Amino acid sequence: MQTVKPSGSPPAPTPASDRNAEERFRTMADHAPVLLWMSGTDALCNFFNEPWLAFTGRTMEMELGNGWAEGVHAEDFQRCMSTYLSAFVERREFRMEYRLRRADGEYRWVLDNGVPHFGPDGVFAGYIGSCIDITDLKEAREELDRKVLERTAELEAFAYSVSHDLRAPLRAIAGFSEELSRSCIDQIDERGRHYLERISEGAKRMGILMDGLLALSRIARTDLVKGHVNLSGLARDVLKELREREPSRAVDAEITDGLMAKADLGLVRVLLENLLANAWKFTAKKDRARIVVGQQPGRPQAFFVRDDGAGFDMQYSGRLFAPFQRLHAKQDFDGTGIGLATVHRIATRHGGRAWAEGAVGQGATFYFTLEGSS
Amino acid sequence: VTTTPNILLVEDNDDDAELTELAFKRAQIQSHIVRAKDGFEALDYLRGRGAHRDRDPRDLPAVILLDLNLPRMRGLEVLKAIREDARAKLVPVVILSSSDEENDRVGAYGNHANSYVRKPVDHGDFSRAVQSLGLYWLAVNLPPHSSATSLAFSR
Repeated sequence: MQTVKPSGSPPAPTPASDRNAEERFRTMADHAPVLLWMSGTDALCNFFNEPWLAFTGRTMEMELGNGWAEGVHAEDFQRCMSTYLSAFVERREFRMEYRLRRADGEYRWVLDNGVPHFGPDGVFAGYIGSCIDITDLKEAREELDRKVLERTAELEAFAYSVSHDLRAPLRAIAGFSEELSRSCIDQIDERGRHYLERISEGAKRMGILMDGLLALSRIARTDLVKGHVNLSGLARDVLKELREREPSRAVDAEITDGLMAKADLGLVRVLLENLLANAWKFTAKKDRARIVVGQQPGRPQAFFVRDDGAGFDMQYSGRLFAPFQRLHAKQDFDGTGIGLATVHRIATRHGGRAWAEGAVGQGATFYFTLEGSS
Repeated sequence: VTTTPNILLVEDNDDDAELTELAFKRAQIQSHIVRAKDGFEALDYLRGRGAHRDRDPRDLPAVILLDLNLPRMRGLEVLKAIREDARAKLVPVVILSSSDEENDRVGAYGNHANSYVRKPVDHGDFSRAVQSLGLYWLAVNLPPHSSATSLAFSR
């Protein structure tokens, strides 16, 4: 039976160029490594590419309209539909994650990105969406989160052990050597007393080292609470404390006004305490010392603390920020080798870093940033 | 003259217990220290039970010095048990701990400890800490029970 065509001019045949364009689109869509779908102005789906059909194991006829939604996990269905439809009403681009049933029956997490598309005349024509399977990515991320939690718990247990268990025997060493030098002093000769003194000193020093280590681990364990921090004010407070502790020192301080950073107040205070105490300590041999706190010219997010003290050999600058590394003999400048490691850790916890410049006998400059350089 | 002890020291570590007793002796604070090696023993002592069943539980110490890191029953659990005890709940408890971790301090005050002292490694500092807390809790502070009050000055 022949269809009767309406009278008048015959329908215009589809131009060859249009057919070519459609074919090109099909080829592209069917060979793209993503699952593609399209919908019309009625929000119903009117196209799925080969990879989509291969993934769900269903036919185009089954998926068309709202058929595809049968493959969405029941727990994700409501959220999925309302995200799609509310974006649709506003002609907005959307992104969502949901579980989609694969041909083998397993639900896989997909990331679906839908964008509205418009005809050459600017009229809304529907949506084009693309999905990728992110199940492996999601699982890897969860595994990573689990590992971070595990490591943090290990660190906590370690710090707790340092704090409780290792201090007790240390107290015994310090305490009983002290008691020995008090109660039995008559039975101990000069040399013995000297040894006892060395034992006490050693125990005391180990106590200080353990406290430093504990403080370092605490930085990794505390939650970062960022706010607007006035570094200039903080630096002034810290220097005031240093002056009160050693009023005999002559130290000129120059602190740039209005140094601000978005950072954790408590941690930044610890950072400045360490850098300024460092500058204070390594200028101790100068009659008149100078400490400068400022901002690197042309790089406002990089702050620095500069002194004109003992300095260091740049050859060792890489070791400065590692825990327990010291570049000076204990009798010249006392220290635990924890201070700069603490500074470094505080900077990196904020997404920044710390570095140093200096020369022997010509002072040192310690730089730090509190955010990633962008 | 009563012979009732006025300090209960709950400490599992022999070294720490001896050093604490030595520090009290050096500080020349009139005191009698009874030591419990763990929380169970401390609670038996306070309640006049077990090995301490011949003791009158109405005689309470003027202060309890409690270590946090104890075997069998953690220090904080001992503190909770003391605070739930009908008689002993009012006795001042001073935590003597190796730790200065915030969690430990918050836990201690949260369970109504009266004071929290970190045991210093240096023996001189340790002796001074013991001396000042001994003077405060035995001579300055007035405990809730009158028998204990008179005790601090009668011995």
